[in-house]
Amino acid sequence: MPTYNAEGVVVRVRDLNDTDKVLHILTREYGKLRCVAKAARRPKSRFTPAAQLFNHLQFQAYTGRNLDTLTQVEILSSFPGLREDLVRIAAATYACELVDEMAQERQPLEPVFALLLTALRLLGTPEMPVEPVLRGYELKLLALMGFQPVLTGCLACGAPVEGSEVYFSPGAGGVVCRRCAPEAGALRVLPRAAVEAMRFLLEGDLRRAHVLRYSPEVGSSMARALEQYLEYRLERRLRSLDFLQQVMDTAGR
Amino acid sequence: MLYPEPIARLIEELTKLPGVGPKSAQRLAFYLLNAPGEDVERLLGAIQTARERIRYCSVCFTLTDTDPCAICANPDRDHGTICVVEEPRDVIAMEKTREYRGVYHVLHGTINPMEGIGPEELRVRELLQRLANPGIREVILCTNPTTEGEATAIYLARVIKPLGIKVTRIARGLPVGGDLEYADEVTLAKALEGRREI
Repeated sequence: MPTYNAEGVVVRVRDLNDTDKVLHILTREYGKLRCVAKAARRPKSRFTPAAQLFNHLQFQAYTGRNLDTLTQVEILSSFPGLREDLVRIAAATYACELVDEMAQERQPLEPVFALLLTALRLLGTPEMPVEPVLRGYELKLLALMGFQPVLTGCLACGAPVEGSEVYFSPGAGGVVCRRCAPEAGALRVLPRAAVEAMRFLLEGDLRRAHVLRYSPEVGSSMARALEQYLEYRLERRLRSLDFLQQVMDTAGR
Repeated sequence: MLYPEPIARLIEELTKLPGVGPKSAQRLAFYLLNAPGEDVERLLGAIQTARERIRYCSVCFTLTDTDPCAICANPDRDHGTICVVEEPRDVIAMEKTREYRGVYHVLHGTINPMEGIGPEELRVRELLQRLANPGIREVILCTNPTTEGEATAIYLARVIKPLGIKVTRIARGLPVGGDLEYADEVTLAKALEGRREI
């Protein structure tokens, strides 16, 4: 059985049986992998501390028919800043579930790994606002997966974005001009500023997401539009989204 | 299957038990077939009695045969301190320390957003109802030191603190008989953070 070394982030943890856990690890080298952490449900196993969500690991495993098996593991970072604030825990959980859902197994895509790592670092930084980082992460992840929304001009005729309100089609993934709107199906109306903010986040550096300033209305219309587009692409609603919205609402952010 | 139907069915039922595979189920089945009649009767009786008499305590939601449970009904215990745990077996673990004199509250799980488990799925509302009693001075959060356990503890601290009740979190550190060299970085860092003067 071939063994290999890899670096990755734990994006999902579930119980396999009474003693073992299965970790979904997004790796730099091999894309998403599913690895068994033997005895990780027992308190004294060497894998127990590593088998936690968000952990950035360096590990060795061997390939199995279905699941791989961990043999050695070292925690590079456990992102302590992520674990002390409820909004940040919820946001990072959502970020992990999203990439777990979108990434294909054993399809190496290093930019996706780099994006996740950057997002978790930013979400674990106390002075970094959560919302723009999450929106930027969603947009960049969509782009890397080949679902980049069209924000520069009408996706049907290419006409430039005009007016203070813009039509956005979650089904087609982009903005639609007034003339093409009747044929585009279900649409959302977004403030122009929301489209501009999404373009900034999509094209810019995620680490600069915090310089973006926008009103709560623009923020929530961006969030709803991306939520709908993602739901359309994934064909389901992510489970961690409800909890994220619940803690965001009560925290007033 | 080559076994006569009743044995095959017994094996099939036993395979449903946690940690029991087909081979162990076969061994258990043959043991039960050859065991003295009164042993099997006692086992059947024990399963039936446990199923009939065990329920959740209406105060702390641990498993009990009396309602309220022996701990909640004990006047010698400190009813002003509530220790919040994930599962009924955590109550037993805490009781084994013989250090704790307060009462408990069992949540029956942890917040796990990826599995769709939020505070509404746990016994959080019941805990907050108990906290309306002015005699409560302290809530000790004893959820596991996992990502989900921590999230649950932080969530509870956030809803309980505004009520003016002291909220504490159980400490993390090295196990007795452990080895510093083999301790993971996170545990060691937490142990250092929580060091005490001796």
